Amino acid sequence: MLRYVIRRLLQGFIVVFLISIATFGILHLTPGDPVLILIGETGRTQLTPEQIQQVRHYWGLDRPLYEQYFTWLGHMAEGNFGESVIQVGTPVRTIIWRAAPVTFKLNAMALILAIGISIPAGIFAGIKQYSIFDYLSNVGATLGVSVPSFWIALMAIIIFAAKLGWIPPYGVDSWKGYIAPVLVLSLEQMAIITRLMRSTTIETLGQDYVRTARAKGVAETHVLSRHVVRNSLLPVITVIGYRIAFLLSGTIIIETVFAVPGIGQLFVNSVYHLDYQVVQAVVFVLSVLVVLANLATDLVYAYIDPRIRLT
Amino acid sequence: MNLIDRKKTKETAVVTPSTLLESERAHRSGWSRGWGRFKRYKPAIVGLVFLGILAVLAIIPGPFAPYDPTLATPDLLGAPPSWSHPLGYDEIGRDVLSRIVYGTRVALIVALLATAMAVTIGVLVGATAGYFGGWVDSVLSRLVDTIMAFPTIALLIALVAVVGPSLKTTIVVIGATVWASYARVARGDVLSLRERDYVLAARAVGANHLRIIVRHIVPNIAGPIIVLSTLAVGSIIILEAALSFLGLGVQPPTPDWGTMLASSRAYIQSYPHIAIAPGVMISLTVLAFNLIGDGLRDALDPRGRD
Repeated sequence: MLRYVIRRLLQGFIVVFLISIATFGILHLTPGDPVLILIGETGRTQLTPEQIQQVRHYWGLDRPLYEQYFTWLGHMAEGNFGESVIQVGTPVRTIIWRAAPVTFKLNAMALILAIGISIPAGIFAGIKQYSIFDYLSNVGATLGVSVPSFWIALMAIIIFAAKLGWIPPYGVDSWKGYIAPVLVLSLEQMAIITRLMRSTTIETLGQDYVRTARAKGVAETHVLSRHVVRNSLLPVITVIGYRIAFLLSGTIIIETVFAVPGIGQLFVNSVYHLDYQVVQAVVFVLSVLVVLANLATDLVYAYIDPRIRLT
Repeated sequence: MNLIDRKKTKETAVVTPSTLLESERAHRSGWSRGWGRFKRYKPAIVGLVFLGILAVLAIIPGPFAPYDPTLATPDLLGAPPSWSHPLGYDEIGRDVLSRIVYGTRVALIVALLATAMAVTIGVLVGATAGYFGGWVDSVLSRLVDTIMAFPTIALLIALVAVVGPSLKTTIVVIGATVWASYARVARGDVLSLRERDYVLAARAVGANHLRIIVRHIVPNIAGPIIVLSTLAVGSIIILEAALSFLGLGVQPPTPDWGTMLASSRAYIQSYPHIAIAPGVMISLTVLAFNLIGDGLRDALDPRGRD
């Protein structure tokens, strides 16, 4: 187990290092002068060459690339993230911390809702294969991965906010504001987890140990709860860990549609305002979160299922 | 056993003439048997028909679009559906139906090119990693891990922000980002093929690595890869629509479903009808590809059924 943990930690460390290079590289290694990207269209036409040179110096863009990278990496490691380009003087850390709680609440609720509904639904659909319920959950899951979430969000706003007035059309000033974003954000995850839970349940039902248990005369409820559900849950746990990346991907769009003042909306607005310090910091923080979530999942999985450690 | 035999005779009775010899039937290729299985999954056929209609609309939109998709009638902006304009006018007075028809072209071009790019890179990287193993595998796998750690939308948006949004950027950025998950699948498949006897045999007769990968490995993972690509098209259409919805994909005035949704957003209280049709089209198109993908999985990739 220890060897596995060390190897997995080492891999995670390498990936975080590569992420930092990629995130840094997005602004600095793409063709074109980063200072021109920083000052934007208006800056390019209005600033004199000397002023541009000053901007370049202020952001340290006149120093060698590796030096810039290590300075930036040092900031990231300290959780400092530098200073916003647009809201001059405000540290990026403050901006991110202000937005983080809302995003955390939204995503935690969406994940809990998705798990709470899809795991029982998937198990039930798997046990009652070809039943009406199985058919309906299958149709639901297929639609869930086919219909874009931001369109469902728009329709929810038209129907429940504009026409019926049940929920506010945007913002999360009251708890009602959370209902639609949480529901919409959880739909895709719900569809995917239900599908997976169903197929692992069906697979487990076909295993020899299930047949043996039934042949021994073990009560069916006992077979299902002790043998089938326990074993089918294992692969689903890993997938839930890996869904974090997709959840965070979804939150960027959903927060924008519902005007939820979280990390996702902050990210999109920073892109519109060309605040590259914030953009880089958010991308870095989100992907490190994903790495940590995946790492935690793998370790939990290895702890529960000894077969994993050996490979 | 009896059941299997009956199935077989029933199948051959439909598709082969009675004069066909037993030995000839045995030579029916895997692809042809796959088509037989594919046909049995009706939703996939429905998806295929819908896709055919989309293809026609994309190639020759002219005859099917009642009006010019960029012609604006300022007096009628936001006008609701009527007999002459079944989907109404958009927020600057253009015919929504015509824009939907022309939008098919953009959706399919982006989806197919980005998928082709992503699957090609993914399969090449994954096959190389799986085939060579060792440090090559370690390096490529960490690269794949890194790309997959980014929430896709975040990475896409950041890249577009730097490069500048356009149709070309949309295709390249999506293709360059989503290949990693296909590399992971291809690597796993190749890993299981690497030690097969026919690969050893090819190596024994002196075939080089390139030949073994191209002639022996890739054809044997073709089934799963085709299934994967079909399902990939669906998710890439959603990514493209999401980017355009945020104003970072295809730029106006090019008729595009995601862009149409984006511009409808500001008018959602006053002209809700503009937001409906583009979303329905995106959903149906993605659904069609997903259904075809499910059918192909049944037909070509026996292990991946769920």
